This record gives sequence, structure tokens and C-alpha cells, in this order.
Amino acid sequence: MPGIPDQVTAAAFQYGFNALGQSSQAVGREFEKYVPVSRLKYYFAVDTGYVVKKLRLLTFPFWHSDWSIKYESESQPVQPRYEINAPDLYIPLMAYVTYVVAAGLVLGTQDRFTPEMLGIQASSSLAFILFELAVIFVAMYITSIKSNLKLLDMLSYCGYQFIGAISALMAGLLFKSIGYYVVLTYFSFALGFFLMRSLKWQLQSDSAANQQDPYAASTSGTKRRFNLLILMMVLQTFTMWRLSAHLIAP
Amino acid sequence: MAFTLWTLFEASLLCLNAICVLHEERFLAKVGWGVNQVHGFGEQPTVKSQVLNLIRSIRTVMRIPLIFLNILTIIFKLILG
Repeated sequence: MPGIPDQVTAAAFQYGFNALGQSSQAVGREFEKYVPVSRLKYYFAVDTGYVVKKLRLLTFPFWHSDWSIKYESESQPVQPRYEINAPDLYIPLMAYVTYVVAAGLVLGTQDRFTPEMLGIQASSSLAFILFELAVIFVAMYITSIKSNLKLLDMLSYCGYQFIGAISALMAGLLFKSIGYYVVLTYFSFALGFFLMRSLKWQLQSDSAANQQDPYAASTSGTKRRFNLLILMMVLQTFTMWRLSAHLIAP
Repeated sequence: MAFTLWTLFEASLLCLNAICVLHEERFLAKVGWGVNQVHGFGEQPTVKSQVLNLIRSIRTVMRIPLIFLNILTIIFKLILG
């Protein structure tokens, strides 16, 4: 710029870059409080063996006997690739995308497909998941059940229902209405069983943590935990049904 | 009726508005849900006291942001029809 010595311009640029760096760091810190981005890497540390075993576990959880999770520090479980019972976000994310594509496929076979439907399906199922998460967190606050489960853990447990929705859709494609309902009820039971076993020891009532030995479950808290698990199972069954029912040919 | 992110946002806005509009003295105290009536100091808060705490905290925290969200939504609805 004419009339202004170069040092001032250089200093002004330097100051501008510094301020930009600092403000982007501050924004990153604030964002980290709500969505823990650095924790996300843990949830995607999976490998093929884990994915195959977990999918088998989700479809048939009745023979699995050991549901405990190994922890490597106070609140951080071992990475999912080494521990089959740990929650992850890779499977729910892939299942979500596959669900949107499968919905498009099923609609296409019924000549009901338009490209807008893909966007509507995607945002609609996202809205369902958010609603489920909100209901679960409000229920956990109201019944004062404290647990180590964070937002991302709950997100992963809610995301597993997409597997059931996809399988029910595929069965409905092959075997019409009866196959769809059979697979849907089977997956409701399987997912409910899976949730029951996985979350039984991760939800802990407040009085147990304060008064008694933290590893023993108190009797008054057990009923609330049980009710909360029932609520989660009913919610996920309902959502699985709502996600796929309108796509089946009448 | 489509269940999209926008309808979820609208529904939650309406619910939050409904919670904020409840008047403590005129209504909640009459029903027995007043702020001063549940002050137990027991080991575990009952469900009712947690619900009342939740209502109270929503009213305190969301008053001002709700004003802006309502204005935004009204403008959106006027524009989009």
C-alpha cells in the first residue's frame, strides 16, 4: 500500500495471522467440549476381524458368554479392534449409509424412487436417532442413573439398529411382507438381548456409587436400570419399525 | 407427515416454549409441583424432584435463547410460507 512503510504492513499481517490462529484454536476447544473430536479416533480403531465378529454378535447374541470389557486406564476401554464387546462408530456409520442406499433400492423396485427421497430418508433417520438420544439422556437424568457412557457410546448403541432395519428391508424385498415382519421381530429380540447384556453392568445407580462398594449394584437402583433398558429396547424396536415400514410394498 | 430434522426442530421448539410458559406461582404450586415444596435431602433424588429440577433449569437457561430461536423460526416461516 502506498505511503505506509513495509514493516507496518508486515507487522499487521503477522498480527492478523496470529489472531486467526488463536481464535481457531479457541473455537476448536469450545467445539471439543460438545463433540469430543479427539475421542472419535478411538471409535474408528477397528479392523475387519472385529467388524465380522461384531456383526455376527449383533445378529446372534444368544451364545456369547463373556460380555465384560477390558479397560486400559480409568475410563478408557481397550480399542475395539482388541475387544469385541467395546462399542464403535464404524459399524453404525456404515450401516446408516447402507440403509439410505438400501431404502433407495427398495423404492426403486416399486417405481417410487426419486433422488429427493434419498435426502429425505437420510435426514429423517438422522432425526430419529437424535430424538432417541434425547429421550435416553433425559430418562437417564430423571432417574438419576449415573454411568460412564458418554454421548458417543450411546450414539453407537443406537446406531446398531440400522443393521436390523437393513436386514428387514432385504428380507422384505425377497420374501414380501411376511419375511419382513419375521426378520423385524427376530432383530428386535436379538438387539434387545444384546443391549440388555452389554449395558447391564455399565449403567450404575447413584446411591451405589456413594454409599456402598462401587462395584456392587444396589437394590433400588436395579429396578430403575432395568426400566431404562426396557425403555431403550422399546425405543429401538419402534424406531427400527418406523425406519422401514413405509418402504415395504403394500 | 414427514419426520425430518426441520420438524424435529419445530417440535422441540414448541415443547421448550410450553415448558417456559408455565407459571410457577399460579399453576405449579397449585398442583403441588412448586419449587419450595420438594426439598428433600435424602440419599437419592426421587423422580419427581428430578423432573421439577429439570423444568426449573430449562426455564432459567433457555429463556433468552428461546427468544432468538422463536424470532428466527418466525422469520423462516414467513419467508418459506
